[in-house]
Amino acid sequence: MNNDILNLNELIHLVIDNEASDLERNLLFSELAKDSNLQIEFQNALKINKSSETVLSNFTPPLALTQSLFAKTGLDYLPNGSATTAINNGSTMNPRYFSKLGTIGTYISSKVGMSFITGVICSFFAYNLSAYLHNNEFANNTKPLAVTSNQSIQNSPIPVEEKSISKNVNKPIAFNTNSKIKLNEDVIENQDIVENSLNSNVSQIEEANNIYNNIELSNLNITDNSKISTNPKILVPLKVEKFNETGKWIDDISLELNAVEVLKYFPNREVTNSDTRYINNKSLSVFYKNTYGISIGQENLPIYLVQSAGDLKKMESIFYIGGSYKYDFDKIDWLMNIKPSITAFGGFSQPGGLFKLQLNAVYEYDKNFDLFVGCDGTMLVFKYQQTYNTTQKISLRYGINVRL
Amino acid sequence: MNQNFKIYSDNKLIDIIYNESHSLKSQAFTELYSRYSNKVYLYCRKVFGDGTDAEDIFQETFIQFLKNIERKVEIKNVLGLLLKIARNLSLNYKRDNKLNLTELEEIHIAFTENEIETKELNQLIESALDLLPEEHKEAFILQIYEGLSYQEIAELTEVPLTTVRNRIVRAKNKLKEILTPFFELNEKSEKKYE
Repeated sequence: MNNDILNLNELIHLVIDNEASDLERNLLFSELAKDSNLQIEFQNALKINKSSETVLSNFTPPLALTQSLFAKTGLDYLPNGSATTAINNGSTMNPRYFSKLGTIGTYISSKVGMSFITGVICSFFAYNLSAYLHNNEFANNTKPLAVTSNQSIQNSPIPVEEKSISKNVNKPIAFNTNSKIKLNEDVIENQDIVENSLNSNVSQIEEANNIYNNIELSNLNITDNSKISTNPKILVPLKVEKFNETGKWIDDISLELNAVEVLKYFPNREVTNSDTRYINNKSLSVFYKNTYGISIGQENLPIYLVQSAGDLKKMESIFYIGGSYKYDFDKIDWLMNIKPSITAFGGFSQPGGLFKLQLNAVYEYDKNFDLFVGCDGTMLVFKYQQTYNTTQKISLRYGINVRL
Repeated sequence: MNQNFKIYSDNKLIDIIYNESHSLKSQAFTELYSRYSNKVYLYCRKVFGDGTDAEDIFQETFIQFLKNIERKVEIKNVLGLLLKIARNLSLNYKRDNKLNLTELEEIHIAFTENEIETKELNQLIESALDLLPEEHKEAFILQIYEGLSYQEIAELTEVPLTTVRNRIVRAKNKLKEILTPFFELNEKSEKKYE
């Protein structure tokens, strides 16, 4: 140590800090032995030093600060035995239950969303099935539209397909459920025609059907559309309303297949897809009346499962299940049948509660089939070290919705 | 892959950060962070208090530390480098923002107005530290909280060893002086219960 002159009080600190020489140490202890005031000074100095021992543990950087730092460095925070965006086994939910749920979920997801293309194919199948069912339902509930060779067809408010009045028609004409047929002033353009049509009495229809029953449709000889008059002698089926009210619960069910592309994680970090990437970021929802739904899915989120000290398992995908509420802004029609829609989701996953808010632009391809694209905000709430934390992401979402 | 990074030396971790994949790099950096973040954070908090300044300096310290690794700067003492970065950032920040240093004479005024009887020693020291001259406070923090030797502090702050010693001793003496009423009060109450 330097030879600067120090008084005994100052020497106390050097000795406590183990920075004094042997000579200085001996000098202090010899003085301590005979000076009680110096002993008190020594004790007080010792207290100051000892007080620091407990301080360090109180200065753990806050979780948010750590997350923010790692986001800035572009690295993942992968603590050994602790985690930034992490969960402890059983921190929020029963892990055993969720382990099974996760397995089931993965299985379901793998079956449902092996690839989005598979989903699209399935949806088209469902869509066609839906159309088939509706056609049959109508055929069962109403008599076919009868057209006689000497009756003319006006520009029907009910859009019968053109082929149905060509000479190639060889079977009874059925209404196409894909068309937008409603006895509704908003849809039907020619009100007079409709009124006339609706005023046609039952006997006319019966008469027409009798005629229909007695003719061969192949005898129809309507080849020139110009000859079709505007005389409103259309025969309106008695049960037109059945188009929308088949009375079957399945009519209120719709399926939604959805895929997401993550735009940004909060905190920002790199999440690499695993071998299960084909089933990640997909979800399937079943909606009732296109409003209340149950959704399952599997998505990437930056989270890690802390199994034990030093043993960290990265959860590259999280299976979730929960309820959805969808609201279509039917009165808003932007362009070409594109309408806005909003969906709120609340559910749970192994790490904790999962919440979503989705804003979509929905293109109504036809009565049974929608395409949508939008943005998805997802927040996962999990409990770690007795406090609730969140991790979020914003994604682009797109998919299809099929009404059965 | 689950490696136990706890057993690796600082140098090994630095080597992994420089050479390895993103995942290993993340794990190695996390381990270094877990070793030293408390000390760096404490330093920043002691120097800047509870505000966001401390957090900004703390973050920037680790970011610059990572840059040092990526630039392959030779690092012999990780904590020393971290504290050096934190210190330089602090000095720059204080210079740029013209933060005033507290004068030593204010100490007694501040504490005679406080009800020190009700405070814990740690809180008292923390409060008292803010009243010390900046150099004394820094030396005290580095020695007491960061556990650096006088020599290490001298190297870090680039001042002679004797200066470090004087700063620490004076800081502690001043603290002791400030805390004397608390010690006396404690002593009395201890005797009362004996």
